[in-house]
Amino acid sequence: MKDWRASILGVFFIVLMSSILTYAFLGYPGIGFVRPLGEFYLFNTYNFENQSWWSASPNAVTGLLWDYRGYDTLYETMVFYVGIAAVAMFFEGHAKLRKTGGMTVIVRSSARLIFVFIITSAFAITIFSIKTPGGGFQGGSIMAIAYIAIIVSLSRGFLPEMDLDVEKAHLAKIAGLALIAGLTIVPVVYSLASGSAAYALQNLPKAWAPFGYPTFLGFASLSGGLIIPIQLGEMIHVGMGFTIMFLLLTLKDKED
Amino acid sequence: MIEMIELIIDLLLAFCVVLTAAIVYTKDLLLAIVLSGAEGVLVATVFYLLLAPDIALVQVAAGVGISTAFFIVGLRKIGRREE
Amino acid sequence: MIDMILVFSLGMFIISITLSMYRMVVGPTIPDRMLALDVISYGLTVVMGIIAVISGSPYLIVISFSLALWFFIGALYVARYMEGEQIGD
Repeated sequence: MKDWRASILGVFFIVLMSSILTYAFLGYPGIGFVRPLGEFYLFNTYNFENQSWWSASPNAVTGLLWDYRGYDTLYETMVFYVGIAAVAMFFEGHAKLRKTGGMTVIVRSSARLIFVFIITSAFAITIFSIKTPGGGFQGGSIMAIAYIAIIVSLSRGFLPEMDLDVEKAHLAKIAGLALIAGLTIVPVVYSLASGSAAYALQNLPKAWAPFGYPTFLGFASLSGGLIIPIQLGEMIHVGMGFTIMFLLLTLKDKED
Repeated sequence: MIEMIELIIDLLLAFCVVLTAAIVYTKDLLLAIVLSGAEGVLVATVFYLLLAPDIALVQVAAGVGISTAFFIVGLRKIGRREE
Repeated sequence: MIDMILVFSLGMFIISITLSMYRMVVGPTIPDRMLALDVISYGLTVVMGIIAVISGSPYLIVISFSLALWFFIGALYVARYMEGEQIGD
């Protein structure tokens, strides 16, 4: 009896909360409607007539964060780095990745096929994150899903055939972080050598800080040339990090 | 059209309530993981319909794809049935 | 005309998702529920595609790809667990 009362109370509470949230959604504007705040940012972030203060970005997230998109990426990556380091510390000593049977032929073939699709969509989501929704973290977690599919359906021992083991994954992860760090240092060093001002993670040239990564490649907008390499570095870092975590957890599972 | 999208959002949230109740009261942990994957997919669609595709991508990739894998690895340690 | 067809098919997919939801909650075994989840995921993928077509913005279609690709793998995890073998062997 008491259980029933508790469950009815719980369901009632959830229904109440979701109806309140639904009531809040009634202010949801139609597709194609632009709020005044949105108009302000559209005017200032992707306005070809007003290039002195623009951020060259049609994507709202990049447009709002402007130069700070780099800091966003950097700290996301650093938090993730610390998390992976803590997990890897518990699992010292790298076990051999042995090759075994895996699942049936149908599953293995379709997993190989779908691996290509998923890696492609991960790169697409990362590189085109300047225009379409996406970003380094999203692309990285999609890349990790591809490797996890390989581990689950083929076997752990298939990874060395793809030139990947725990050591190499760690190296790739650190290379992604080094890419971000290196791109941060370049404008500062260059500008100190040439005697002008610069910011770390500077994206677009400013009136008092002339160094900047290229904004356009031919006619295609890169929305600040720093964004794409930084997002690629974060994608590699996050994807390899999740792969290492999954590998180590299943290895530990096997020893018990 | 907007009324239809609001209707879809309401419907998906109602499904989420049903699934949450099922997750809380089931004794089979594998079933709970499957149901929470389903709920993640529904929530991702709600994010999408509210025009937040970035958040929906994170929800699909990390919240549904990766955390389900980790939960199933962990399930082997603690056993499938809850006492 | 095209708009009417799109809205009509949207409604049909919503109904089919609702029916699979019944199987999801009631279905006696785990494979039933996995199959229902598969149908729901693909239905939601199509719903996202239709809404992207109606609103005429290609930016909205990105997620439907990753959602469609994902569920194959979700079924793999559960199948692997129910085979009773170690994950990753």
